[in-house]
Amino acid sequence: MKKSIVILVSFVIFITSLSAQTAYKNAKLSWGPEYKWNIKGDIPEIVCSNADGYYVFTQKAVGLYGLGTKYIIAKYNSKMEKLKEAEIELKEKDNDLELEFVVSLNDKIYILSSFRNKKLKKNFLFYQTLNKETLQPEKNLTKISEINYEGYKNSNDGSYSFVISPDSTKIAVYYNLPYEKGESEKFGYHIFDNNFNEIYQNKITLPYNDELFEISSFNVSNIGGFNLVGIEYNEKKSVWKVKPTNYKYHILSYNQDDPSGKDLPIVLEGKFINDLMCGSNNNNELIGAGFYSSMGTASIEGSFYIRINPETGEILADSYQKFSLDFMTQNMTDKQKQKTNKKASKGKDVEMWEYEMKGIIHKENGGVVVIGEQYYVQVVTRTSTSSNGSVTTTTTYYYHYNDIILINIDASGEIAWTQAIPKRQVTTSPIMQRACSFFTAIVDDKIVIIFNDHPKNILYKKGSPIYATNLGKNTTTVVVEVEADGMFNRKVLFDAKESKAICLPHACQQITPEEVIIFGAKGNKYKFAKLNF
Amino acid sequence: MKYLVLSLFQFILFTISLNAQVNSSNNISQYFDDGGISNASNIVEFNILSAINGDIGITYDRKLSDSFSAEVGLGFIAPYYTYEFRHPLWKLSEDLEGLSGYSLKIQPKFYVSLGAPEDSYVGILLRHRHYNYLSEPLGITDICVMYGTRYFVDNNICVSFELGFGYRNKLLIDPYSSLGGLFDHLIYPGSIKVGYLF
Repeated sequence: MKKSIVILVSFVIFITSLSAQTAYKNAKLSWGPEYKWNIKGDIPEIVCSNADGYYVFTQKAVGLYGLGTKYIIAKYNSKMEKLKEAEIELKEKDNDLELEFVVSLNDKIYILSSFRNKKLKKNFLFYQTLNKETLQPEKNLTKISEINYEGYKNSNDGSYSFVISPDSTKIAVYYNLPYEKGESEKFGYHIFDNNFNEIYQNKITLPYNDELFEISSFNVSNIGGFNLVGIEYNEKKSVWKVKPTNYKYHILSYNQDDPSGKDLPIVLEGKFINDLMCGSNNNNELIGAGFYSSMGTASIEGSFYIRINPETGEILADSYQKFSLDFMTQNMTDKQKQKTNKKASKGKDVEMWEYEMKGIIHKENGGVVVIGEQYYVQVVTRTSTSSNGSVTTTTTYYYHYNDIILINIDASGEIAWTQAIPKRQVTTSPIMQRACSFFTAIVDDKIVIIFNDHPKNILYKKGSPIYATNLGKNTTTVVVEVEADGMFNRKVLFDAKESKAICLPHACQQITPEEVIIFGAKGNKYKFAKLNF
Repeated sequence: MKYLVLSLFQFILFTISLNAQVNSSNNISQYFDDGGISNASNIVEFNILSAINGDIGITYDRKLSDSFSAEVGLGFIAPYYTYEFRHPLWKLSEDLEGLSGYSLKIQPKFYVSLGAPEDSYVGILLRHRHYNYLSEPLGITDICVMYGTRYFVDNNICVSFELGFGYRNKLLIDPYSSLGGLFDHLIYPGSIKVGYLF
């Protein structure tokens, strides 16, 4: 009997100690109350936050078959309790305005809305500030842009988008200008300061035919430079085939003193550039980084880096570097590793399959950390025959979100370190894809990554199999802290079953350098949690 | 006197500020001066081809979103109704003497360009016509896939063209009818409509 008690106590101590070892202790997690939510609705977006709380914007589908949209803004206090919720009414006299976006600058919330005047054939853009108490737009509308689509159909009336500079002192509002198919794409942009005072505006006609050029992203620098990343194709996109010589990435850079801009082709001889992201560093230099391949667009072999003076177009640093075999095989099982090593020893190309670039972190020294994730869709078709002889075929799509990779590149273009964080998420539900992938925050000099994981992976060791979470019952939300030297540890943030919530990474947000808001949802309920570092 | 000057000065300032506010409001108003057409989502149309055919009616098309609209219609079958030109007109005047009835239609429409209610669309037309054929009541139900396009010739005035194909089901209301030779068949309806946006 005495022996049994000793064994039981030892077991309890062991379990407690194991739990203590795996729980995340570098930050305090506190949950707010639960609220009702439609999981099929849009994910709420935290648009503004301060010491008193934060404001959350949501679009809700309403009406017959969800054809209508309601725009809701809600105010939460620092305890994550909902204080007020209101539908944003966008009307000017009897005219309905269309909400374009909600943006926060300088602790103010701006509502940007448009009105298509079909008589004048102009699409006007206005801003209003949101009254943080009533949660309604102030009455004063200010017109900040217009798209003239005279001579074109009403459906060719353009659309507005925006990007904010890294230091949040500038906002670029850009829009498509109407053009005929086969012409060069045209668009315009305005650069505003963080009080919506216009600094300058510009209209651009791209130097490429619309059918041979695709814009992939826009960004604005801290001093108001406007840059876009695009892909030039040798053939029409509709007949495009994968060949290394078939497409070329370009960074097009414009600013107040150079409205006609500079076209900077990004070429790695004999390599495919599979992904390129662009931004600007604290010295307002243009930084581009991404992945390349020797085989095709489905795999990556290494990363590249380019640093450019946007005023002169001079390349200040550029490099590309192949990933090491150790890095590529680090999360493989022993069997997979053996197979890959054998392939490499025969001189065959070894690459990492189905990786997408997910983000780029600009470091103060001009270097970057490139973040990628393995993502692919597996299509499985099953055929079954019933007892009466009828044949049924079903097709299931499995969405896989796997390992996260980080490549730390210094300002000279050298890879300082690479790291692969093992992860397996798989779902057949397009809605549950919202719980896939990961969220990134920067805390001090660490990169903090939050994602949903299988509980068994918490004790994962290199070479051992990694378990896939289906984002159901067996789901634990984990925190991976990546240190400045690339070393990382994985700890449990919360268990989905105990917390009655699954983290939706895309709705999480870092609101201060030490605070992250987590969005957790389950069924028709959601709640926020605060993570204080 | 000093007090009077001060009051007068304040009054002028107040007037200027009020005027500035009104001007600002007027400045904004100019962007919304559109004769009420920009947010208009209702169109009433008259089908010219159908009227020539003997089905005189109007339709009401309501924009539901940038990609969807729904049209409903009501018509009167006139004595000169020509059964979609399948019979020679001279014969019809003899066969369908005193013919009259009604037509109903409903047609949800999908606009690929997100430009509803302007631009090209694809719709499913469900139409029912009820009238006497050789003195016997006859119900005709059509279900068709329609492709159409709508142009605005003026701010409020529009013209629509539609073509489609579908299936016609004919039902003799009297099961003991002596009429024979009425079979279900494929149809290829078309329309030209003029409409008013409000």
